[in-house]
Amino acid sequence: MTIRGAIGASLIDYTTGQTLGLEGGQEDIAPHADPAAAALGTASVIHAAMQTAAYAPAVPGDTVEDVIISTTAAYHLIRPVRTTFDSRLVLYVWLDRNEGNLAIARRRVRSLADDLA
Amino acid sequence: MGAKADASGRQSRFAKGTTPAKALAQLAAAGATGALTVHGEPGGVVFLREGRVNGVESPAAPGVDRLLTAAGLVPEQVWESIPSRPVRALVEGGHVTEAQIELCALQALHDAAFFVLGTPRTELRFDEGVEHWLGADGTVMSHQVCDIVARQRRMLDEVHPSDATDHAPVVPVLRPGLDRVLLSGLQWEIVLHADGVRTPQDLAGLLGCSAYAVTLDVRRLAAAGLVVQPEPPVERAPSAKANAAVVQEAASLPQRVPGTYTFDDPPPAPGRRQLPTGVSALAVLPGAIDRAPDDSLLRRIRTALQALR
Repeated sequence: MTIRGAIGASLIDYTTGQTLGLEGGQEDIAPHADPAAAALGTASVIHAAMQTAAYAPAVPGDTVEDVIISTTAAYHLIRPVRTTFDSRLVLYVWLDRNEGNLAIARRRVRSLADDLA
Repeated sequence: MGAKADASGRQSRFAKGTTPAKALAQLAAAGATGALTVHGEPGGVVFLREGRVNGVESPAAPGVDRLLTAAGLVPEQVWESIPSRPVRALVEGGHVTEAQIELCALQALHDAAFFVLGTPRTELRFDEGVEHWLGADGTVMSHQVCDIVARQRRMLDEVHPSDATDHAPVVPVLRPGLDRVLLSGLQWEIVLHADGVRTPQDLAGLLGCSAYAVTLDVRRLAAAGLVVQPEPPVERAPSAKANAAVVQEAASLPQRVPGTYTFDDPPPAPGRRQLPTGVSALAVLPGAIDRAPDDSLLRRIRTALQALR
């Protein structure tokens, strides 16, 4: 993994909350004993952000870019992957707060998401 | 119970009452390579490679070809001249990246699996050695596919516990009876393309998107009271004559010019909110909403506001 301080990452289909394992990719690791439950949780977080009127686009073309949740020990980055073909995917990265740098990680996640799209 | 190989040894049938999921588990345990055909409604085919699922096709869900063509990535005519197992050719031809085709194949696999594994009253057949046409590298454990299908089904029921809208024509209500309607982007497309005939799966094929996602969003529309709850299914005879009648009915509807409103229009029958068969929401909405605003009311309000100053 090339993001400094990243503890885990996964690609999640947020319609169903399922983790899509990618060949050649990292193992799915989640801050939870049950990765499936963590993926489901991630799916509901992004769903809430996208469906909540308070975060509705303020200007044309405005859209949810990422959701960042900070805890005292970690950062959780959730970023929708906008593929050309129809999909509902998010990239999720779990970042150690002491090791990682949020701004750099965010940039890396963005370029990762763009590579997938 | 078990799969019995017939005389040729290449084709197996399953005992009556075997579910697709159970057959899949048996084949996975045996490390089989081949195609499990699920006959029924909607039915489909699950392709296995050494016991792992490599692809799933169902008439109810758009395949990788449809998804990529609808997205504008691969022109229709490319598919006609493409070699078998076209993944390499598509990547080398510059149409898609490896990540794109892999993700797209995985999504199409799970989408079709939902419909194939949920097929009731099936007849099953296994053809050894038959591979999926795409030739994608990605494979998924068969029990994972079954788990995800179970979750997909659970999510549908959490959204709205009625399957009445799942396979019926989507008919948006003409008057929502709500102050505000909030739609997802996909729901917007669904409502615009619903013509009173297309089912959620037809719409998915037309739009080139996940059939499960459309089915789920139609349930959300149903939960919000935005689509008409269909009557219990009646046998539709899709004969040419019936289709002609539908077309004629649509043609004989009073034509409105957008931006105008005539009082000659017959008042809507009480309680009738669905679109006539074969008429798209687009065709009806302009007439329904383009009623000229009441000028005198606006003027009165403005006068009243000015009086307040």
